[in-house]
Amino acid sequence: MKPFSAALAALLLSMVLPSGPANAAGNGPLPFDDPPGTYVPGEVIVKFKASATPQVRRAAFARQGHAILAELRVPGMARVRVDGGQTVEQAIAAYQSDPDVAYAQPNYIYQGARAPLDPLFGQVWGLKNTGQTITSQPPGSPLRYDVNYAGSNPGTPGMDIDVEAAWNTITDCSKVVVAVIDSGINYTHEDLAANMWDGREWGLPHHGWDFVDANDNPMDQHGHGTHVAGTIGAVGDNGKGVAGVCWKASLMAVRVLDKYNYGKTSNFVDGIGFAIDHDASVINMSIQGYNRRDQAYADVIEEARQNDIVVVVCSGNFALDADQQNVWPCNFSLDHGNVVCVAAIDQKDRFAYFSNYGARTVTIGAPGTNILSAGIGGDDVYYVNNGTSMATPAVAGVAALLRAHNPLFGYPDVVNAITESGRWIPTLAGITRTGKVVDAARALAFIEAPTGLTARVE
Amino acid sequence: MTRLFRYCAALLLLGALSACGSSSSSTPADRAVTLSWSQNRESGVNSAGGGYRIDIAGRDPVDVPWVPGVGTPTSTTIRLPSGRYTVVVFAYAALDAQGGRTGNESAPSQSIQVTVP
Repeated sequence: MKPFSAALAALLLSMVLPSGPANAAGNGPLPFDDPPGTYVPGEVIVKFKASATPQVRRAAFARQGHAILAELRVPGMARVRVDGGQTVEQAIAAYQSDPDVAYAQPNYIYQGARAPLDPLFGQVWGLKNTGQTITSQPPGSPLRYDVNYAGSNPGTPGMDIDVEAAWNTITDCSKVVVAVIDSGINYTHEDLAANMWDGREWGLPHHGWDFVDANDNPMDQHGHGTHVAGTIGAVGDNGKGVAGVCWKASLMAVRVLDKYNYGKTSNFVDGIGFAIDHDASVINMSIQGYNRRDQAYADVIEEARQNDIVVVVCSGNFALDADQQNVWPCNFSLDHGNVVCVAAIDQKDRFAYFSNYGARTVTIGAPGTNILSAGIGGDDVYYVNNGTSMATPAVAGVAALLRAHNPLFGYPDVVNAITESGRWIPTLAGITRTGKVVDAARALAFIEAPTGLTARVE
Repeated sequence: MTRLFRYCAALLLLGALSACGSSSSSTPADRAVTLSWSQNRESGVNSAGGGYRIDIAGRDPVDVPWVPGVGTPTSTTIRLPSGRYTVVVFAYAALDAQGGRTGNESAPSQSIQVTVP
């Protein structure tokens, strides 16, 4: 470095670093480069040297015109109100130059990472991947389930949908009605009952409609829809079972699949229409079909788009290239901007071997192997399942979080936030449209570039 | 680079670091320019810690923050001397991508050219 440059660097450094005595650890003055919002405005913490008497300390505060808010438990340490038009940075610099002060620092703000107190949450790797092994619970266990996707178990820490960070911002999606168009929902389940859609104002006490048996009781007779519902909105932090992406939710049960898990166009049309008519703003359809183009199905998906509903669907489980096949409803993503088609990844961010793919048709990936969620056959039943059906509700849950946090969002905003913010992984590159895994925290933080900029010279 | 460095250093010694590479001083001959844009729909942009930042090539950025009781403005009027300027606007919010409050910013808007006679 040239001498002139070195001198300038030193000068610049002197403006950034408060001069004065070394801190208590002997490492020099504490730098101050903390952005606003990371510390309490108008407060600093001051630690005096052991030699500083109470009189000396009081005199130091008086010179700065600051008031002591509290003496902290460490001798000679106080929390101080910064007055007199000083910034926190200026106050710290002033104290650092006081020979009686050991150090001064901002009163930093910390956040507790929000993790729900649900006993099985540690097995829900898709929401928080710690590298845990998803383990079968043997017969006779209070909670009995089997794990049957051997690959990538245990997984890799951090390869999840990053929802724990999002929970620092929002956990409650209850103002967003999410229609689970599926085999129904076990709406009395201990981890779902409190999060079911309240249909009483519509005269629907059982939280939805059954289009298979044409009645108002969409109780799940297969288990598929209940599992999906649990990933979206199993009650969080209730000390029971698992947690969903949304700790509080409004889950509408729309039964269109029978007890064998099969459905038909007419029920899909009616089911989506029901969701439209009853104010759903997110639809989850973990359903696959390989027929020729189904115009009736397409028409009602379009009606959902016109009603500003995000429709999250699965890519299907036949390891097919959906760009080259008729895969419905996934391929509606080509013509309907409200459709997000979801592939499955495993615990190590690898593409699940069964998942359909498509560089144009499949939008994004989400965890879809060894997924633990709620079940049927009892109100405390949980089980592990695999499939793009299990990946889809993770994205639907993020869509609900986005809509709950941003009430002004239309479906293009939701879809854009999900697709733009996702976490790129090489195993999805080239076989999905975005090459990304859904990322809840980044989706919540995503900000669209402003539009419509104009200027008028007066 | 060295010349610019020395120029900056000289300005710094004059206590005018912020003027290095940009200028925002206004004179009576300057013209008022009203910039407007569409409202962003993110809650973070429209609440405490949110707002817009306008970048005008060769000038200091203009901050248009959220205002308590008012909201986040979607227009602002600045004064510019005669010249041709490239202008973009960014939206920002306090929420960051780790669930914290260190802030996050959008990509820039499409740029526009503003000619002040």
